[in-house]
Amino acid sequence: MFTQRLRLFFRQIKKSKLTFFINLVGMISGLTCVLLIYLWVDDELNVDKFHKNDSQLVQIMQKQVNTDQKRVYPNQSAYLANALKEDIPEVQIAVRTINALYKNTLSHDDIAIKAEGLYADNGFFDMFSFSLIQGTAKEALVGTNDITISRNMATRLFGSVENSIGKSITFNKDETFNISGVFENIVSTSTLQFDFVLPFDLLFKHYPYLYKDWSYSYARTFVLLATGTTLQQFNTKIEKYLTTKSEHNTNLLLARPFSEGYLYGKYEDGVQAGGRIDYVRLFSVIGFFILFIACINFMNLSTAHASLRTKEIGLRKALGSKRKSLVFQFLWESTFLVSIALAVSIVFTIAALPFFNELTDKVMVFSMTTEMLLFLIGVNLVTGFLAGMYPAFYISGFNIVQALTGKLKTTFGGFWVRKGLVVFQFSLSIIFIIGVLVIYKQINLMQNTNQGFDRENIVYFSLEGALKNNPKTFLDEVKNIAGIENASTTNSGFFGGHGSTSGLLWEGKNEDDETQMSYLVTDYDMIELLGIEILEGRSFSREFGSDSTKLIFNEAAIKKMGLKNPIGAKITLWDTPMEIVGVVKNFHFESLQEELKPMFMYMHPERLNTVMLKLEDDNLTTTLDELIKFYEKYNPGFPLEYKFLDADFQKLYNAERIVSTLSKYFAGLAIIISSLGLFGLAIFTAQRRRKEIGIRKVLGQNSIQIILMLSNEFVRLVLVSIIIAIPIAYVFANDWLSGFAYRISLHAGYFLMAGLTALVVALLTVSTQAIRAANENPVDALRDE
Amino acid sequence: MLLQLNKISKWVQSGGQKVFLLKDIDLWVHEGDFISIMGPSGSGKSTLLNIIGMLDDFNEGEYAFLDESVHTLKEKHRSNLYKQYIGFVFQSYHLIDELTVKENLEMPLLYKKHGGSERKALVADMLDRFNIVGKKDLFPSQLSGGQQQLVGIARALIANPKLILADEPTGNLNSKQGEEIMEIFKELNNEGVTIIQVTHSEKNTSYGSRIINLLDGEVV
Repeated sequence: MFTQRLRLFFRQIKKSKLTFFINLVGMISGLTCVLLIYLWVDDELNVDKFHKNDSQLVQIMQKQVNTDQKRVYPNQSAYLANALKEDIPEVQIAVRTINALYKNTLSHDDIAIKAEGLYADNGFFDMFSFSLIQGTAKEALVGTNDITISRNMATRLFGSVENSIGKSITFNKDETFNISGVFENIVSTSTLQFDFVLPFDLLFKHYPYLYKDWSYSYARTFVLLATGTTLQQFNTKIEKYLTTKSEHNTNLLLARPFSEGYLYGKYEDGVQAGGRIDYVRLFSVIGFFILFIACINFMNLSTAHASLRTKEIGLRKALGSKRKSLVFQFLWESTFLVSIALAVSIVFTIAALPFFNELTDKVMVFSMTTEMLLFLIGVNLVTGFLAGMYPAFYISGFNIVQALTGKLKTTFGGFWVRKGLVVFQFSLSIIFIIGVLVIYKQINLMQNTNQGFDRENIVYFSLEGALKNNPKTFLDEVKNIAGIENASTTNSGFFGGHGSTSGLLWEGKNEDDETQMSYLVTDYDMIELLGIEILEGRSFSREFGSDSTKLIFNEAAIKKMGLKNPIGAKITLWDTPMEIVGVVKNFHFESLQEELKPMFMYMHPERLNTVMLKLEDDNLTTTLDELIKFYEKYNPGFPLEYKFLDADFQKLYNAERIVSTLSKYFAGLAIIISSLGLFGLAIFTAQRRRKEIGIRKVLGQNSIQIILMLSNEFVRLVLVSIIIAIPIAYVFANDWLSGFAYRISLHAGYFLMAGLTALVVALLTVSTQAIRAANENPVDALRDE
Repeated sequence: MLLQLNKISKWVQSGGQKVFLLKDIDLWVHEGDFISIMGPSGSGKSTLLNIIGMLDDFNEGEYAFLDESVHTLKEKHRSNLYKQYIGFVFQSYHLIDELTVKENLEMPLLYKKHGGSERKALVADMLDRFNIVGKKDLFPSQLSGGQQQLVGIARALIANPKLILADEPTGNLNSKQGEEIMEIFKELNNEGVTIIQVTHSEKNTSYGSRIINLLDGEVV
């Protein structure tokens, strides 16, 4: 029985190669898509999930409620962790961490490496599952002379982990730390990424300007809840906790599971509003739909193809085959086909993975875990059933006599189902295309919107070593290199990572006003270097003596404070009296997803840690070479690692760009698979209407009229699809765009273009078959057997 | 003279050999003729009819229709010629299932230069003439075989052809229906329409004026 089926199956394939090919190609593309999406989704869902304490591990967030827009942010006072531990018994461990604001240089002998650092309290290694190969969690991060480094660092600096034990390393060429522990390299699915960890208290030595104060928030606070404590209980307990520490602080605390931070990182008006999880869901749905489109091809082609198999079915029935066994035969065939396709698509997936990894910025591997195996089996069965179900019941229901004589009436029901499925396929494809267009346009908008400053040809690097001692001299000398237009210093990266403060007082400020203002620490020449426009007053300038008590605000901040005559107005910042000397035009210092925030710039030489250079457009590489040579001489032992500001800017939209690229591929696939199906269907329509075409030709219709008639049928289907797709796509696109503070307006062009694309593709697909059918000699079709 | 076939041959290549479907056929047809082509299965009757109807090509010989030599005409010209002068009637009627009787009748007119009202009038005439006015909105599947063939003849006649080619027009009908159809052919012939029919039935040949017997592609 089984071998007979198998033999029959292969002979069927041989007989109808084209249908088989279309089915297989569609399935393989669909399944490859699904596998890749599965890998991606699985990877996303597993981010930060590897910690053993996952269920009890929470991050404390702060919610600002006394502003028009409630805001939730992760920064906390450096006091919070200890205070929570003392005051709340449910807290088992509380740890503060903060990433080093810039890369530090670790060196041993001649080897110097720039590394990402983390400052953390003891308990960090107990709380998180970053396993220590050397040292114990208890001893790590205690002594202020101790450093814990990654396996990678140890190998690079000392050749091996064993060699590193008991050794010491030089930190930024001026401090020495003993290696008290080595931890395993951090997996890519961790949001915390670092090469070394230092005790948290060293932060205040390395960044002396960071205050320990309840109103000064910069540390991340993680808490391990005692077993049995629920998140809800804990949240009720800590919500108003800050008021007990300082009377005026109306901010609320809330804890969220640490591992949820990655996927559910977005807050709107103080309420959790999705985040990357939206993309995870989106792509899961897309994956399912693409597979479904491929299944529809299978259904359509099999039912259409059934007209050629009626004899076999009739014969089987006449010889006593039960309907059940016929249904089983068809389901078996489809499942078998799917498993062939699945095998091929696994190969394709593995082949595509390096490219896909690059695209998604991930390190995914295809491994046959039990989970994967179950997934594959599940996909195989579900897809096989989905694809084979309709044909199985449709075909097995044939009437014996009709089937044997081949006089099977094409039932209108079956016909409509097929048309409906095609409409469904094309609606999905059109929705995808519209999605791609909208995403593309939005990203374009974000990249081309005038930021309010010039980000081209700006490089930046850490201010360290010899530079740190006397930045002024370095800046003056570096400007002598031909091709360097301007040089200045600032603190940390320009995009993101800004401090913000509510410690600002101005005349007429409401006592309860906790407005957070972002700030940039700058130096002379920075405003000029970035080409930021001054609206009122002046820029920071050496001509006016010390500007260390002077502030420059952006328009938004002036508006927020309601100052009529800002220039010369007195401001108190962190209890220091200051004065406004200038107002700059608003510029976007964050992603355009964010509303433009009020901000100010001030001079604080101690906090400067980044050199920024504006280069001339010409001879960029020569200038950079010169810079490297100059830097090596000026600051020996510190490798120069410079970055382009523009690259950082591009990074802001990484998620969107990945989504954009992926959707481009997926939409392309969707339309290809759909038209494959349409192609197959066109063949069968031409076959089904063969007699009619013959009659029409005999009665005088010419080929062109017949081509039009045949194409017309499909064009109508696509038109219906367009009508269905547009409103759905509109709703989705609007919803997606609402996540951006600055967004494109949806205009009819996108929808028309998507519809037109689908129409053209469909026409091209169908017309080849129509032309073939129309040019056939009618005598062949009309022969009375 | 309506048409003349001169040494018409048609063959197919099979295993390096020529297999003749028709061989050296000579045929003269005058206006008003009623010719029956007879012969066993596979003798080439239908092929001959298709060649006369210009639906099929031939490999050798000459064919003149109303003094135009068909074999030298371009495809487009040829199809204009048969559209204008020839009507076809088939054994299995070949009506379009998705169209009603009225629409089936109207179809040949759609590709000629007839106005809408003229078309309606012609269709009404035909319905009247064959007494099928009551069936005009039915689909072919709702008619009996005889009625379907009636529609088939009406459709062949609607463009007012000089020649009707009928390929076993009664082959699918019972004897009573068959007789009725043959009577109609007889009447049409009396009105001056030339008819060539392919038939198996001796009885049907009695309606015609001339019989051509074919065997293995040759006239005997």
